[in-house]
Amino acid sequence: MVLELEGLTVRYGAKTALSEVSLRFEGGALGLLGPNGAGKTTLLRTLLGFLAPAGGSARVLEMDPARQPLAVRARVGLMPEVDCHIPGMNAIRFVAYAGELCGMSAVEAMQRAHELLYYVGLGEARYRDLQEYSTGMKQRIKLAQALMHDPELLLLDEPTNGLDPRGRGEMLELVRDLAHGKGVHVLLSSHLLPDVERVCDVVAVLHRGRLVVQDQVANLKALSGRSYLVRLRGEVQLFAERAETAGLGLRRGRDEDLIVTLPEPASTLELFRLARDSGVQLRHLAALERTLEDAFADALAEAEGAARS
Amino acid sequence: MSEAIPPAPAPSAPAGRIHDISYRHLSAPLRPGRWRWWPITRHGLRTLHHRSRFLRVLLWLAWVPAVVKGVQIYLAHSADQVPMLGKLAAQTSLLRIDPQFFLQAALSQSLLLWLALLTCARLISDDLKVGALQVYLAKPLTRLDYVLGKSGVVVGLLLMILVLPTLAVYLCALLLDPGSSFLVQHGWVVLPLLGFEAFVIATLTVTVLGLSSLSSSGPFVTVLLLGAYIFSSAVSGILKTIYRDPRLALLGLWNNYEQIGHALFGLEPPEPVSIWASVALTTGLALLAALALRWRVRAVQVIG
Repeated sequence: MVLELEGLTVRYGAKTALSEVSLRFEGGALGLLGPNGAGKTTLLRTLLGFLAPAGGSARVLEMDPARQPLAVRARVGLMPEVDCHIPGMNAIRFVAYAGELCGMSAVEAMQRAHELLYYVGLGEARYRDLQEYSTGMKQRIKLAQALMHDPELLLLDEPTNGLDPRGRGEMLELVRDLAHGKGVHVLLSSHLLPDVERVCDVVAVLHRGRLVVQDQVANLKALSGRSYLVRLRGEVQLFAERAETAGLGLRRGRDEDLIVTLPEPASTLELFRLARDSGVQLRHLAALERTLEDAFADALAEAEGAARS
Repeated sequence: MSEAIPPAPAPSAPAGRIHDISYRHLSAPLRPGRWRWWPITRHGLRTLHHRSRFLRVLLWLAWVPAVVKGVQIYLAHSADQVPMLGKLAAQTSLLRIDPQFFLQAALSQSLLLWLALLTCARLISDDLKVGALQVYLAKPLTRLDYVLGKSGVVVGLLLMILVLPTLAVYLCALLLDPGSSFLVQHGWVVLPLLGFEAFVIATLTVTVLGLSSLSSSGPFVTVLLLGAYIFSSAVSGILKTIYRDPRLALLGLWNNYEQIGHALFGLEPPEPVSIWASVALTTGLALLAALALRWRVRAVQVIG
């Protein structure tokens, strides 16, 4: 088991940052989703032993980070969200230094630093001063330093922050390659759903310090009903009321569009019938695929609803 | 019949993207040893040496007093043979090789020592500024390892600025002594000399690192350090002159070290004040700095 959390609670003074989070991650790539302030970074910090749990337990690679922080950090790599470059160093020195801090000899660290800088695509720029690096290059070098000690688990905190679309794609490709081609387990924390969808097999959604859902990406995207984009002309309100009465899921789309979810075994004929009965014209009907964004929005909405009730 | 020209070879298939071929798993897991702090010290000293021309100059200047003292020792031993030097030795203390001479050798390094400490002002503040603490502490390092590593940088510098030149003076006195009179009479000074320097290095190292951890602004920490040396000495001098109270001399940080140095060498302290007050002040300041380090050197800063 790569990660096993049981009722994990973490507090900053009086403020609860994580509340009774239970999660299991057996390997591969796990996406940690959540809006800003959801507790994603706090969870990563707890996994490295930076923060002690106020309740519950966390096990990383079968170790307790609160009790064995050094053993955990020897097998886990962290790519922090913030810039963390030591001034006055060029890339090769910085990455080699990260290796020496993990216990490598200077020669071994330098050799691996060269390899890793090529791996992350900075081979030609490895002798340049870090202060001259662009944001994208800085992100790559943070990844390289996190990989120096060949971690079994890689914690990535918002790895695509500040990257242009091309840089973002390349970074995600690297992360995907690590997780699926190189056997490095990845925990990717992000608020960008497409990033997580592209790299991860499993997603956990945090909201206000609570885990609201954890499932396979494929399961989350699977339709619990079939959704359609519907455009009407006429008395839309009447149509909406009748649709709700008939047990159809309904929400607003862009402009005047409606997104209608049909429960099994209803068919699209039901929509035509409702339109006829409501006296509206059905001008457009298109099947929708549920995205991770929908799943995320639903999970948050459910969590909000549960909190209110 | 001419041989048919073979078709141009097809461009070879791409060998794959670079990142497909260059990631290598380590053959054995890494096992950080007990000296986990050493790379931090080594890197810190190397960086300071490379980046600061000022420091390189200081390292050379640190030997100037030692060379002067060496010349004094040589002349003192030649006083018997050169009448003019004999007169000089009788009239002044310049050619007297005694505990005071060695204490002065250590105290005369004070300006260079403080200037060297200024180059260490950014040791922790720069890491705080760029968020590098997370890089350090996400590795198999404890906070103590980090502080020890940074301390090693300051200690290493002070060894080169303070200890090595004064030890060279002592060795010079030993080697230039024609008989063994120096060893018999004053050989013991090496103990208070090293004891005094160890006290100075230990307390100032912690103090400097504590001040460096207080802010992420290097210039601010430099001003704090200058204040600890120059401003405190100036204020103590002015107040002592106005109120004629010798206790006010202890407001100057370096004055306290002078008091302690004199006591360790068995000499009359410059001010008629208990040396325990100076010990309490310097160690108290170092303890406060240690508390600041404990508070500030964290991977996660929890405010409020």
